[in-house]
Amino acid sequence: MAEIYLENVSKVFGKGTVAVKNLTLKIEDKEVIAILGPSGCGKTTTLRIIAGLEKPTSGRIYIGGKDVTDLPPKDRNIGMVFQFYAIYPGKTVYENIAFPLRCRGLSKSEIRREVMNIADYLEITRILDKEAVACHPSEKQLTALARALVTHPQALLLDEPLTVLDADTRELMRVKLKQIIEKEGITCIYVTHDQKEGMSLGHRIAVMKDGELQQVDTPSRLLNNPINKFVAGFIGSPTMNFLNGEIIKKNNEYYVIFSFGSVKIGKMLEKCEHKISLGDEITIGIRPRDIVLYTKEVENSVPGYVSGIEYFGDHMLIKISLSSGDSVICQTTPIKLKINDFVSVILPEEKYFFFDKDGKNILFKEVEKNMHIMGE
Amino acid sequence: MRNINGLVVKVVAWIFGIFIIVWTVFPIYWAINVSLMNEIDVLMKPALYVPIRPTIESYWIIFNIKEAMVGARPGSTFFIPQAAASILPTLTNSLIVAITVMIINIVFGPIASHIFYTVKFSKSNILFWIIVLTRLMPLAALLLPIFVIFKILNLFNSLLGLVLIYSALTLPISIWISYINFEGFPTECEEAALVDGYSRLEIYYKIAFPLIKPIIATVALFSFIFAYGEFFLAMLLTSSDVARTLPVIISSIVGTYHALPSMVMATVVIGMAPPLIVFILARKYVIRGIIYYTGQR
Amino acid sequence: MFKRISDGVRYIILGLFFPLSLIFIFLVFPIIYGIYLSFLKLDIHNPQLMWQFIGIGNYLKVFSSYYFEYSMIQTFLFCLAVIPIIILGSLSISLLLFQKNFRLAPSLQAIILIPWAIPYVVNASMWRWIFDANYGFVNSVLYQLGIIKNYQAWLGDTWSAFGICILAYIWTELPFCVLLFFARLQSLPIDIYEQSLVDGAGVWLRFKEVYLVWLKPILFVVSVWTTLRAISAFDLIYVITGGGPADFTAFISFFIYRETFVFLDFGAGAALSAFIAVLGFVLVILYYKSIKFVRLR
Repeated sequence: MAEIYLENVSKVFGKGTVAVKNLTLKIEDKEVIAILGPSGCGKTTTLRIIAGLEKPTSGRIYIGGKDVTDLPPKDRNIGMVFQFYAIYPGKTVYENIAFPLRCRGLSKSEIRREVMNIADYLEITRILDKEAVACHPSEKQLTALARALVTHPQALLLDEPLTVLDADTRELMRVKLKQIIEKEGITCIYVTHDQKEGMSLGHRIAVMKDGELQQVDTPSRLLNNPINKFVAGFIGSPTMNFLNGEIIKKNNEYYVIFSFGSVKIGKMLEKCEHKISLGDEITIGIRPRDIVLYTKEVENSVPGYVSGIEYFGDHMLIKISLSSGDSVICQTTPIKLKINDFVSVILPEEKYFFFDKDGKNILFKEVEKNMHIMGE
Repeated sequence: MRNINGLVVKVVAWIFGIFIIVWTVFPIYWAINVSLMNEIDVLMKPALYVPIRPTIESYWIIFNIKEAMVGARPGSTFFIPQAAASILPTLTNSLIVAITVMIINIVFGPIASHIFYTVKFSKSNILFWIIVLTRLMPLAALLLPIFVIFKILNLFNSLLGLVLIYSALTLPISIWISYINFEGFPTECEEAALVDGYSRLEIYYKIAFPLIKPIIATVALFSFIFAYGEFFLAMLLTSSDVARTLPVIISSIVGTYHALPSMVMATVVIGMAPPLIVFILARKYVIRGIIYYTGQR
Repeated sequence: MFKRISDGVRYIILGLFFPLSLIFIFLVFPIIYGIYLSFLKLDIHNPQLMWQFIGIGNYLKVFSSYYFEYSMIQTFLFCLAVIPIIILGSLSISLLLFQKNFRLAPSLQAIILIPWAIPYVVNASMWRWIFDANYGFVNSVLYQLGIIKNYQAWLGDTWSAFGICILAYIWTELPFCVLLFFARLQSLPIDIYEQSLVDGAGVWLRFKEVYLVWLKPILFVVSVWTTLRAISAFDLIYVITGGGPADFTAFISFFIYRETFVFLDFGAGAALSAFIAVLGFVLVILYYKSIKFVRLR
């Protein structure tokens, strides 16, 4: 059993910088979890605390049910892959992979067996005798991965392992990584700032900001049920549009007034009627692909004109300037539009996310505690 | 980050560390100790570890020396060596020479390695290696030839002569130290400035120089220490207090039988003081200086 | 006219002219001149043969002199003692200084360079005084502890004088090597160190596989540097023991001085210098190769 549990972990560095704040996170056995967030959000520090390279200022860490907070990295039965692969210079690929086994005192024949096994599995047998530092980055990364797995650890920790690779190699590695993780069935924690990577590899994603855990959920739930404005804006590409407005009542109908116009809201409001009141500041979030455009005047729409077009082959991103100076981005299939064309923007209310003035998602649905969250 | 696991290792490390501290500091402490002892206490067997009746008599004599003070002292077995009269003048000489050499090194050292690093002219590599390699020759090999050259150039017994020879001996190492630390230097800034029309000299002191302050500190410290403390060439190439430097006097006083012990040690303490002061001032920069660029990835 | 020279060339001239002239006049030329002199008969005691070319005559004289074999043995023993201690000592100290968890490290870092900063005459004086026959600290402590019954003249006794030289030499030379190692350690990529922690390497394996591998280039540099300086050790020894007692601590570089300034056979002095220089040069070639090795990384 290799579940990992961080209990109220905090880390403050010497000069008072709070890197991690009250982090409580439970990672199931055999789960793959991605820790995602912008630079400086504390994700790498969290990983290092789990690995034992940093001691938390407060809180405990449990791996496989055992309290490992005071144990050094080598006693935690983990494997780790660093961003720049940390290949030992002056050693061949074979010797690099064999190193952890040497540290554990295995015999030469046992070492040989294990190394050949993992090398075979990762298909790097042919480079075993090469000078490790001289290898291609993807080979180096595979070597680092082999080295991390050769001791059959209960958990695998990866710190942005694909960031330094070029695009093609990255694709290749992503596939291989996924295969291995699933085959070995070990718990895996993966730190990255690239959400696409996190989304594709992780069962769940933990989003962090400024040292605090924002939300831990499956990718689809993060997209559809973000806990706050930050998560909503961070997950999902292209970024969600945010529009600030105020709620009013007119003729017994509820409207949201923006600086560029107003939009009627009815159905959505019923769901959260008790949570908001008239006059409240509110931020509406709407994803680019949910915006609908018309080239002629339509009811309940907002007028605007095209101020930017980006063409991506199978879709387009259109930047639309509204009368107030705000702009929204719309993602559509390719249509014929030029700069300065007039468009009517429809913001379908059922696609809205409502965020109060603190940024919290008003319509956020709490996940039931004992729901089994993997494989969704 | 760098842990010491294992209690045994920790204990050994502490013992070793304390040993190093004691071993380094002790000789200095002892010199100060003796320099403050009056002449009766100095003779105590076993020796006193702390001066119970401290006196700054020797220091006073050194700084206020008059001809009359030299020689035998009434009622004591010790005497004040003639050389004591030379302490202040030679100290001044040493400081002048050391500071001048330091300035020369600061001005010409980094700029030379900057040239080797940026402007690659033909045969620059060979020139660089000649400069560095020659300095690795044992000094003894140079004694006679330098003696001859000094005679030819009439540089005997002159501060100028000392400054020149010390500069020749320190510049190669300054150039080498600066060069090593140029690794990782952002040449793009300079290339941009070149395109903008700056002359190379301007580029050096407006762009490069401010960035290599740690290197400057290292070079300054090293050349000062060398020029100040150099003994042998100073002894060979000077014959009077006009140009003589302090180390020569120290060696003479230390070798004098029955010289007043506190005075001998006082001379030693005075001899130590300037480089230690410079060292303390530059220490921050020195440690940073050598690691400044090698520390980057 | 100055303006017509291209900017790059002008910069080179401004930057390199002065230092290069100094280096060539006072360093490069003396070496070459010295080698030339070694082939001439320059013995004051043989005025009619002065300035005559005698080929390897001087060398033969030196190799068959009364002191050559004896001094080489002494020098060899000295180097045998001093070189390993300095290399291993500076290696361990630099590793010690590097451990961030070690609370003594900052204080150690502060004081470790002090022996290097102090002029070696001062060093020598302090050590002489500590071992002084009448007032020295060592005598006093050992007497108090009852280990000796009478004060000993440490410097007058062959092997103890030898030992004192070793002690003082190590004290003076070790810090610089620590600096060299320490600078290299600073550039050790943190990743590799932490990876070894995760991989499970204990203290010994970490030392062998991570530190040592990374330090190998500098280890070579330090070894050659230490060796070079040890075979030409002269100034420090001269001040402490003057070569005595009875030439016991007169290492080979000593005799350059003696031939040149005491026996007044400049040719022989030059020949001996050249010999030691060549010995050093061979090591310098090795040193150069190690620089290349470092570059290749």
